[in-house]
Amino acid sequence: MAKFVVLLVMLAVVIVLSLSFGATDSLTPGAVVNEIVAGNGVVYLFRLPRALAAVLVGLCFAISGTVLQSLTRNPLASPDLLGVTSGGGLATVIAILVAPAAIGPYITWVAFVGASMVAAVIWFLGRGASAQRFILTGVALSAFTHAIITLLLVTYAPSAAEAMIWLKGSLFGRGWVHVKHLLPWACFAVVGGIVVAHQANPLVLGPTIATTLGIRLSVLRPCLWLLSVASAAAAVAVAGTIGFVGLIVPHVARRLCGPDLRFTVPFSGLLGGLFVLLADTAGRVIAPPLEIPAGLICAFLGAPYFGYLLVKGKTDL
Amino acid sequence: MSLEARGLQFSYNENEPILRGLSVVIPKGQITALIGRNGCGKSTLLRLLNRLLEPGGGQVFLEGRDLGGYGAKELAQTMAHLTQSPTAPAGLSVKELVEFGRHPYRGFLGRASSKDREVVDWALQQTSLVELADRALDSLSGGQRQRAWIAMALAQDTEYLLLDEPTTHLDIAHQLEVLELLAKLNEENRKTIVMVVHDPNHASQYAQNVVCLSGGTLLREGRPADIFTEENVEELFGVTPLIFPGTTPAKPWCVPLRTL
Amino acid sequence: MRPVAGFWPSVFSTVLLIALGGYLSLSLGPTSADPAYTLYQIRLPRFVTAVLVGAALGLAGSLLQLATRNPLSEPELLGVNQSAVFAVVLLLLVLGERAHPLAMLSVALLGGAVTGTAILLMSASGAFPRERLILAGLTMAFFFGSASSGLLLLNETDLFELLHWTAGKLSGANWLDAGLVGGCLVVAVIVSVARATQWNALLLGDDTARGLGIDPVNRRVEIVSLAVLLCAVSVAVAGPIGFVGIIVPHLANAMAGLDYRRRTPLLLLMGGALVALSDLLARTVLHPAEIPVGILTALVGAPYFLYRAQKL
Repeated sequence: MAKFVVLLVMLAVVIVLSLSFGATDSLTPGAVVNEIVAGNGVVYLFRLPRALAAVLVGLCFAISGTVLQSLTRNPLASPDLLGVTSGGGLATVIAILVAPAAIGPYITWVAFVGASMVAAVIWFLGRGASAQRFILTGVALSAFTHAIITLLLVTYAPSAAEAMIWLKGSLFGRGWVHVKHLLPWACFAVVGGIVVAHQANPLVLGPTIATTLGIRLSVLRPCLWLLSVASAAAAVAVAGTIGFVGLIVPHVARRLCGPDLRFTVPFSGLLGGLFVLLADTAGRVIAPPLEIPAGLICAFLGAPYFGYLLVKGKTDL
Repeated sequence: MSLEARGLQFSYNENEPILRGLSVVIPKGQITALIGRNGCGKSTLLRLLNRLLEPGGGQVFLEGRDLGGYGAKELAQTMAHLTQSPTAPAGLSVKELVEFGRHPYRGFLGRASSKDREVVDWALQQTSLVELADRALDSLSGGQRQRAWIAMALAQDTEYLLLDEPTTHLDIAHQLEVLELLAKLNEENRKTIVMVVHDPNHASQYAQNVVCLSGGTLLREGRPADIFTEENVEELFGVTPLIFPGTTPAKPWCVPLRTL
Repeated sequence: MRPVAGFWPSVFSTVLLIALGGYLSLSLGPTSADPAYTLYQIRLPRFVTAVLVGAALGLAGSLLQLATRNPLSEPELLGVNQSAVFAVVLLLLVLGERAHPLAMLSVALLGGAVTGTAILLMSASGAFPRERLILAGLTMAFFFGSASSGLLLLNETDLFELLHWTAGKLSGANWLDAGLVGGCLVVAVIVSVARATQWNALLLGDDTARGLGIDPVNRRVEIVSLAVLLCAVSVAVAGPIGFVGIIVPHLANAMAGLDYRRRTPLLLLMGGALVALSDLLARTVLHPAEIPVGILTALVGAPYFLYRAQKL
């Protein structure tokens, strides 16, 4: 319990920090509160929704990764490596190139459809008793969608800059409309995750033993997959393909909370939110007015930690 | 009332049927040993009895009801199954493993009740693992680990206990440890136990009922004294044995001498 | 594994394919003012480089599969290509212009060595069976890919040109490029032939290999170093081209069996044919635009990878 509280406090602190600093003015906490209450000013109009969006995006990616690693019994599984996020990315790139003006408000749904389609293909081709085959199917689809994305970017250069920035994973320009889109999905992710957590715990013993303990794999597995895909898709729709969050955050959460998913899922969510918010804030304040996309900072922070996990041989569920 | 298979047929792929119309009754309250050559279908039968596999033909009846009619949880509360070489994630403690055994009884959100805690403690006691409860599973010896898995099956609090080769890969002391534990569970707790064993003496000394599988069907079944004769062993295993009576004539010893 | 088609028929048909590809590469294209120049300084070196790069990548894939004992290993999927690309992008942005191929090669070698070392460590540790190794490699690939893209984004000037290169392209290849690849290939082939029997023992597992007097650690370092060399030179010359290293070894095995003496020449020929034909397609399909070769190989290779994954 104490860990949760510490995490919430850290989150609050970082939120306040991110609201105070930025490309324009730096504000005192008091001024921040005033602006929020007044419903106006740079904090309320830009930084607050952006911070909230960052937290929700991180939460969704982290929960998606946690659930996916439990489903596949593989601690290296994550929605980005399995092609779910790039599916969303592909749909979005196509949409941006085909009808940039018309798409605007519907981009969330476009990405969601793309991610779900790729996920459906992975599910039908890759499911079987072997988690290995599932993962490898995801890898193949990820490579395929990435190739098509690159093809589109390279062929239609003029709009490529915008598509590329979006694809790198960034919270630039995310406002209240994005928060509204994301909030129901984030709630679904958290609640759904906690609800299935107890059923999913015995999966670590393998499918056979889980079945003898009374778990219906034919029901549980699709639910877990759906939860993971929905969370990731919602996040991709808002922020693009931010990688590493779904891979690394579940590991940290497991090390701090133990393997019981009823605790790891919510903890993961909070931690993921914190991570992405930190990355986004750092990206804004490091070299203003230039913005480094949050996705890149996540990669830079995430990869060394991943390397550490590899070296220490701690890549077990 | 018991566990019964009628006319079971099963194959993993089309060309090789493993079970061809197998019918057998597992009597309640006894230890039944399943013996036979490699590949005769012992593990497959065990998996069919626990609905881990669906038969291509035939049916299984548990307590008079068709196995397919049981809910997943209900079945888990009636039968526990220990597979060959089960694996657990690194760092899992004995107690955590045994607690998994209560899964079929825990509520939707998984809160552990006082009954759950009681049963877990009881299971640890029965398997003499109380002192090792907080040790990591992978730091234990083979025999201790096997006892931990049995403790998990115990925590499931089931009438029936199905074990697939519970003594393979263990040294002789650990083998006897496990078998004596199973005998105790059968005597004191009236558990119906079905175990696949390779050593014929494990069957003759510890089981009241022996089922011999050959060529995908039932070859014969009965008490150890009836099953372990020179003729039967030659037919079942293809080796010439030396049979001699043990402490009681009901439990003969069977020593393989040479191949036929 | 019983060979499907036999060694000589495969050699014959691959050589025929390369010859066909060569003829088409040399004759197709816009008419130019100076045909001789176009032929000898543009199209021929490009074709030759394509064949050599394909051969190098085919061999590199086979080497990685041997070192990791994983039939799904591949330079692109394990991140070797991307780390080499990252190093080169760094160099290009620092220098501000196209650098000398030798400089690019050295830098690419350094970059590739980073992931190469990681792969060696993971293979040795035994905690990385098949798909875990692939996922770990992918994570590294993802990291270096993001890093490269990040660098490109922050330096908007050469965005389009470098973006194209990071997907693999052979346009602008000259005789120096071909020479570099050819040189590395010769080195790799000589070492492969000399060490082949020892390397094969690795397939039996480390303990068994040691029992036969072979040091598995040293041999694996050797194998991975060669693979990194071949990938680095390919990347330096043509950018990252993926999936050749997974398609070619499997086809070579299917055609010629596991006998190393027959497999190596077939690997080289098939790799060469694959990339040469892909490059031809890449520059003719959307003429006058060019599709990066790496994308074509990925569009073919990813479904192939999928197919192999289904068979596991």
